[in-house]
Amino acid sequence: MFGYHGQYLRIDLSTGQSGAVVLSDDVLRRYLGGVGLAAWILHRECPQGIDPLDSANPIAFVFSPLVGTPLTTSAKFVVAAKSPLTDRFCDSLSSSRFAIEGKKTGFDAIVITGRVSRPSLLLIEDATIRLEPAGEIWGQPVPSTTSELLNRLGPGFAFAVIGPAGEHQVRFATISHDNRHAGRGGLGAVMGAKCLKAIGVRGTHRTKVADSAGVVAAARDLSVRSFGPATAKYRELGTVSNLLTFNRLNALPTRNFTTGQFENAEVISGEILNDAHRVTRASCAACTIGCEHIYRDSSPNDQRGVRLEYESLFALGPLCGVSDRDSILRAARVCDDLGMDTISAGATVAFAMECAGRGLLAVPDLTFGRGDTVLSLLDRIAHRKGIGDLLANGTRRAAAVIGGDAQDFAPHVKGLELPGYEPRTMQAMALGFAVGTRGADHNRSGAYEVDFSPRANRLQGDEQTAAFAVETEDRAALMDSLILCKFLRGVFVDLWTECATLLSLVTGWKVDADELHSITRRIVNARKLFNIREGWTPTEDTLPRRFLLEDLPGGGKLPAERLETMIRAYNLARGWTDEGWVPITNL
Amino acid sequence: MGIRIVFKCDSRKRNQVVTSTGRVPRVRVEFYGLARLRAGRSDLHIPAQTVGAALSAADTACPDLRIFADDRVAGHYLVSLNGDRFTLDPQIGLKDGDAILVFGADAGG
Repeated sequence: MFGYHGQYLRIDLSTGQSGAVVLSDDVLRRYLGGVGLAAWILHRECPQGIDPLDSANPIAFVFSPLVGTPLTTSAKFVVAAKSPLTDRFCDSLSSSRFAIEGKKTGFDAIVITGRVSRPSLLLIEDATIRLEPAGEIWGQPVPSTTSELLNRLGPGFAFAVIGPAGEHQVRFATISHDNRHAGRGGLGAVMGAKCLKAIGVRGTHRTKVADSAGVVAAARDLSVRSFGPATAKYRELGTVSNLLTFNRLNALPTRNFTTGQFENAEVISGEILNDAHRVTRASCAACTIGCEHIYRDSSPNDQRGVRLEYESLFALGPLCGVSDRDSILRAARVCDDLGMDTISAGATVAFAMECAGRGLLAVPDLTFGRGDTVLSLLDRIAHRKGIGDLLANGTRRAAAVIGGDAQDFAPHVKGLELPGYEPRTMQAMALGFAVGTRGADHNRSGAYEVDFSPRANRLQGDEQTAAFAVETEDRAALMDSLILCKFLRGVFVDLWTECATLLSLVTGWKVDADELHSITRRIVNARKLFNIREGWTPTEDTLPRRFLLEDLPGGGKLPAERLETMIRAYNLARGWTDEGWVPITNL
Repeated sequence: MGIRIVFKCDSRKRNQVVTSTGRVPRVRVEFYGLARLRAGRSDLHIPAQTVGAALSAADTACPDLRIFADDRVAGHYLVSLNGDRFTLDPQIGLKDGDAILVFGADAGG
């Protein structure tokens, strides 16, 4: 077997039992790795109807056939579990040495179930698994936790850690490693519920590839292409450059999605940030693109800086009405240090601000534009203090408690807060949000590419929009299963054929584009079937009433009937019923 | 991404390229993202009869831009007229006050 070990490691923290579970060649070929294999594993390991914070909810760290090869951006892995934010399928991608060292333990995935009785560190070193006390680092933020672990164990291990937010089971807590984060869906809370502060991996088992010379040549070619114009934006500007683009197109979510333009966008633009605050650029492990732009705030005390992406910038800036760059940078760093998803955190704060403005919440200084309030609220959320305890459950649950018409403007789909794309002026993305199995999710959908193209009218979605949305979703599933960074997508001339070639070189399988199309459809189906198993109904595939009833100032309207037409077309294009039921009962 | 899109001209009349006074329309070319970095400026005010003419003029004013050649928009840019639909059609006629928005092709996430 090439590219794989052919097994995953299953650890039961409650019983102390662990063992290898065989992964057949058939399963691996049908689900590849990454999000695909994660979907298969969760179907097998996750008990139906389980509370996501129950000890029996497994959390899976899943690698892929390309991990450990010289292919650029291949040091990626997926964390998957039933999400405590959505109660639905959640897979969260991340990039770091954890992927490489994790796979070198000798397993294609590591699945952890049960819980320990006291804060612990789980160490996996080849076939040796041990638990060590973590009481002295419980409560510490991510950076000092990681430093402490490195001091204790040396540089050979790679760590995945949670911050105070995960410990307090904040429903959008992240899992952090190498300054990167498995961000969406609250999987940090799943680790926290298991009393696991950190997982360390180290190993010596490398997989072989079928055609070493071919893989090396392909890697060289891909690296060269990764330096070209298709990735220039990420390398030279970073995703923060999206802010002014979106603002100009009335697509920049502002003040809890009440408008699509922010009057102070220029002040916090990527261009200004790059001129005034950027200090360096970096890459994640095994990556030649180098999309990480590190910024420092204005204070002389900020020596660390923070990596800032568009999503964090929009969520902690315009979405909360904040136009102070230092506040935004500090807020992003607070989220990283405490271990929280910046998108959900920012959206939850913005939602709370609107609730306060409408008289639904009585919290002092909780007004749009208050960067200091954002900072203090983030800390309270991470530690579940005061109003933070309510908001730590995300906007859907908070809205249910707050009452009134809060549900109408709580910015989530299936419980997952919307990222930085205004649905009324990006209607392909609106569709992607509504039908996404993770919830409101730009990453698994990719439908914003349709909005940013001549193929569709971003202001008037229709049935053809649905066909395009299926296409981008399949492409995302492919890249997230192989796993390759989506920032590479523009370097491929024929993504499907070229990826089939890469996979064949690594695994020795004779794979073609048609087979990959079939595999991605299976993966999308598997995620949807998991949700159906866990209680999904067609009523979940929608957007908050705000987007369907309120016209966006400056232009932008998405009537419910139009969204429903697109959703029906999407479902039929997927081979499902028009309501979205999947006519497949086994995988 | 490997497939060339053939885009139909929008509903604006072709060849409606000269104002009623006979003057070539004055339009604004706006640059965002990578286009702004390459252009070295945020916008440009120029006379142009068509989208293609405006982009050619932008290339002349901003040599590092390289957005328009062989009557086509370069693959790593996106162009929108007035922020409405994106377009690849250089023949679209312009009127006074139109804005041609230029973005990097990977304008999303």
